[in-house]
Amino acid sequence: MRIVKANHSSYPRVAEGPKGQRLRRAYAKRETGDLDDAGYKEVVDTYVAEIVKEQEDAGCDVVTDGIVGWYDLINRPSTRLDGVKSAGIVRWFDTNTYVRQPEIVSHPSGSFELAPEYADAAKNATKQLKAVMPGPYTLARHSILTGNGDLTSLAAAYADATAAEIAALGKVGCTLVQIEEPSLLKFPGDADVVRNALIRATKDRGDVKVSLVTYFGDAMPIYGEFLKMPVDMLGFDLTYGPKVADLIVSQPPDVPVQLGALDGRNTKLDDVEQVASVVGRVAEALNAKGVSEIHLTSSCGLEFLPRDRAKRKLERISEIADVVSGVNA
Amino acid sequence: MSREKLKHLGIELPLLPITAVGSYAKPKELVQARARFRNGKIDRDELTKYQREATEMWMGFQNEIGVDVPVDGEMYRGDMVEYFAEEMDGFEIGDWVRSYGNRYYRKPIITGEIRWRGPITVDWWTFAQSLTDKPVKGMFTGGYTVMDWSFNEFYPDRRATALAIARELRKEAEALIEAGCKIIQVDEPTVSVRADEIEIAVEAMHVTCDGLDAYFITHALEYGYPETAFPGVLDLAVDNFDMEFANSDFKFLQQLRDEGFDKDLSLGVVDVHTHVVESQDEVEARIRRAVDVLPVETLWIDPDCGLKTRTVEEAQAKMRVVAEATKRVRAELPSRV
Repeated sequence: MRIVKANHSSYPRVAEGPKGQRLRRAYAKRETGDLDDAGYKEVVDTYVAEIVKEQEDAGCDVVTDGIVGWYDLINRPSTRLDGVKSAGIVRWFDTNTYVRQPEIVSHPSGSFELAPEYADAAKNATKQLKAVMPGPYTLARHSILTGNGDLTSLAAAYADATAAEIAALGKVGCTLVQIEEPSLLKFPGDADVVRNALIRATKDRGDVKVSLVTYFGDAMPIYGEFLKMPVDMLGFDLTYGPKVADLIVSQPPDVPVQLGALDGRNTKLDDVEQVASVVGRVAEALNAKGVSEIHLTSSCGLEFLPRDRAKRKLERISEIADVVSGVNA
Repeated sequence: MSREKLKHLGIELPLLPITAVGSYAKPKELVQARARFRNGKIDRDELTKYQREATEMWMGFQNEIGVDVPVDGEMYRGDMVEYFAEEMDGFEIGDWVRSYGNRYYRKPIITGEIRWRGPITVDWWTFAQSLTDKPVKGMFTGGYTVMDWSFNEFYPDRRATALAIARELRKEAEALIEAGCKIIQVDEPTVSVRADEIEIAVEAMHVTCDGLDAYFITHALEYGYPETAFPGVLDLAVDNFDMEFANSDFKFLQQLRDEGFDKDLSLGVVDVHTHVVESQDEVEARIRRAVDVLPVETLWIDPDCGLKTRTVEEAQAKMRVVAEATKRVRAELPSRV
């Protein structure tokens, strides 16, 4: 069993000191017209290079670009599509962050335009760089529908854009795409909508592995639905749903799991032995099923923590993975 | 209806009282002074001078446009949680985390037992009150929100944390009342976020407010999921709910009536997260939408939220529109009530 030390998704955009504030300042300058898009991209690129190295230094086998150049997880991809414009802000689940909602003005089409960003970030990575994007259902749930649109059709439209993006990412060398569907845990009755959207989104994925990741909720009540999802990895938030680990042990999936076992929302460092024990139990069960990999991550993206604490969480992931690997050696 | 309570407190307000949620934009001079203070180039007395000047400016502005229940504008605060964390024992101030877009704040870390060291906002309230004959609103952030917007490395769980903070903040409410404040706003913008924790927020509000002789407002239910918070949230022990309506296009107005909402309502009628200043006609129409649905004597009018994220010019323009639109609707009221 390989315990893969992975960054979940997002990463803090600021740190102490002028250098740590440069992305924020560049963003502000771009808003006021004092910096053009090319100048902003240059700052984003250097910041991404820095945090990719930071993740690798912390011991990660799988890193991300931290999605630090985006306005937010929902707004950035969706509003690149034709037929979608930016509207007001809405709270992002139970966090103290907000996302700017997309408003649907006509049938969404076109590209999220993520692949070029991925290719730029990949130049900095010596480890596997995971692409992260919101799932079609979560995008639809956060969109303002106008006219006669309905949620299912909108999720299908976003799924088509997702499918095209996965193909584009594959062409620039991406091997792992994380699709985030936290809204599924808020609306568990919509598992069919999610599954149908994912069938559509992943049909042409080729060699690209696709993971379905949920967070900010307990997956236990609909664990069986996850086992039917057409993906190559399943990701769970064990801080909201600690008993999901028991379900994985008793009903292991056929695919690897991403265990969000460290609290991505609190600075307190998680107990090594306690988390290692959970990961070890899951590892044994998956091993027996012939699944050879667990991705160990925080429960959600690390953007909710100060940057120094985010790095410490990644280092703690490494410590825990080492303990588990020792146990299973 | 809480007009009786206000009367008991010696406060007479017109129909559709105009107020503000709490914060206003900081003038450029104050922003620069805060930066110089952080860099050790000026001392606290010098910073306080700029804060007082800015407070005077905003109090003068509110007097000029006819705000019925003015606020001090929070010229002394950075963030609504960080500020209180700095003034109480038990917190460390963490590094920056993002709120939305390009907005960041320093999220406190609870590392020890939380204790109120002494009055936090009272001097500022007293100063603001000295600048007007209108009743100035006292304001602080509630225990549930301070808990939710802090990291916790000390208390065993979220309930214990919220109640510990609420107990200490009660002392702030008592100090405001002792100073003469009669209208106190306890900001709890996170209560609509976790429906499973409404009971904690309600318990915390009881701990802070019960038995105190003041008219309590809570700024709650913003940018969240109010539909999931009802009806439990209505148990919050306050007289007035302040809610954003402009940003969410009034989608919860009917629900409030359907739920048998029986408190006063401060109605957010301008969006604070856009540079665009709404037209007076637009804001009048928004006020009329509420007047048509809820008893007019229960309605207060204000922006969706604090205006600290706008420029001074934008914040003033938005407040002028709020005030003028309210006065125009108010002028029609005798024939409508």
